[in-house]
Amino acid sequence: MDNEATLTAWCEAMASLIDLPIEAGERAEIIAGLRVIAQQMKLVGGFPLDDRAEPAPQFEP
Amino acid sequence: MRLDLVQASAREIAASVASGETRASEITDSSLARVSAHDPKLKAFTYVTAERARAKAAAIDAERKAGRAPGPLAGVPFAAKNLYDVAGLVTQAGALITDDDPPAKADAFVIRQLEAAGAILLGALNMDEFAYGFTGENIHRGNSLNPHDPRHMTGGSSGGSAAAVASGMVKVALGSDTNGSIRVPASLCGLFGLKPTFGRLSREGLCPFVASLDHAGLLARSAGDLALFYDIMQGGTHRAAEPVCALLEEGAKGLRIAIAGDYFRRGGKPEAFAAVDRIAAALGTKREAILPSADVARAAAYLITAAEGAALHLERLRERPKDFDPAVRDRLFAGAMIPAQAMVKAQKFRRWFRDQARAIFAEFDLILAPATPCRAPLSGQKLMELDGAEVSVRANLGIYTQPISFIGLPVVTVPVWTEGERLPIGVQVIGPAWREDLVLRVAYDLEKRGVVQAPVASAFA
Repeated sequence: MDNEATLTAWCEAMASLIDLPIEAGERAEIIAGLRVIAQQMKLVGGFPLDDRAEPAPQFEP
Repeated sequence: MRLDLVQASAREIAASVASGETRASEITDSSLARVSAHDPKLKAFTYVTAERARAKAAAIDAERKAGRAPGPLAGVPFAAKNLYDVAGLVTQAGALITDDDPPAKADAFVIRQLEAAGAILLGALNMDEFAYGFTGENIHRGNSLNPHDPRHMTGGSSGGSAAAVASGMVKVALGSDTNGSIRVPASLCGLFGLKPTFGRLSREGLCPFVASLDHAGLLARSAGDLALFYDIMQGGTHRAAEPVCALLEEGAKGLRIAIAGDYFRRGGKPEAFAAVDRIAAALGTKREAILPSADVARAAAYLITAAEGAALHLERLRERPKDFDPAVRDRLFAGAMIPAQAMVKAQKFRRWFRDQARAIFAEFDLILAPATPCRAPLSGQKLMELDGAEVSVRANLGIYTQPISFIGLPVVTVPVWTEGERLPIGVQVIGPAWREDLVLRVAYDLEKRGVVQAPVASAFA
């Protein structure tokens, strides 16, 4: 997930999908940000939680 | 004026005005003169509301002259991070892009509360762009600098708030805390900082950053001043006000206090843990409590912050990417690319982690943890050494604050000074949800016994 080619593909695909002008930024910095995000997603994603676990926010109609 | 404005507490100032010993106008003029003299060195203020402050002071003096009580904060100078709406001013939120926004039509709720009690707003304060930072650095307005040694950073994002209070320009400054933005600058600038329970103080009239995590709060040079302002700032939410001032004298006696272990005992410099140990010794505790998977909590807070922050600013990122601080923009770009499942899992983990904390608070009343992993780095410093590794300053100043605000617990940061050191470091006193009274009682007790203190920086005393 955090190899350079995957991160670059992620960055370019998402930028195109949501119309984000990443050429205005520093590509290396955005990729570095995605690398951190990938690490954090792995940490959170790998944490075992029951399917019935409720998310924190509550909608009150 | 007999009152020593620099050293006096907010309570003493208000008493002096109420008794007629000092006029609010004298205090305001003197405070504005201090801002003119010192702010160019510290870059704390982005606006000074001199005319408004003088008009308010004159109105307070007229009230008193007419025989009416001038309010519990009469004449006390304060200022607000520039993400709080101030009528007639553009709410910049540390950004350049917001310069084109229309001026705010009304003051934020908490500012209205404070002014109704007689406090005098001196202006708006510098901050990291859109509150997305821990350094107090701002590429557009200049970096706010640490009054205890202006070569060093204030910490952020409420950096101007910390500089304004630590230099004695104001008694209290309003800040906001999403991941540590009150507690980090309070630690680096040697102040008492209160991040109340999530949802306790109204966010009406505050420019948002991360709606899931944003807290309004404040910084001061004493626990008593924190409590005095906090009591008046309450209201305007679904929760009834629960004043704390009358409870402060109950102190720390009888409270079950633990030191946060595991995650909170590694990854920092020795001074961070020494400060916690000193507070623990003063409170007579050696017991340890473990908040499990705090590293996952930090990661989940990171994801929610990046994704929600990016969603908030998506249009601005599309339309004016070059007008952002590059360090903020590129993190927001990355945050805009986070998949939905990561957010859902992070929010589920948030509830799980909250339940772990609730279980610990069944056994303990309070938990102690470092506020920052180190004393203030140099302004502009990018890297630092922690635990034998070279790491980013920006990303790591909040490692101990982030897991706590993630579950919205109330915290007072207390300032610890070590003999021979020029810079302070803070300790988080963490309570269970809605128990601001406990964290403020302990901060007040520690201050009264001289264990912690927040002097005006010597160059400005």
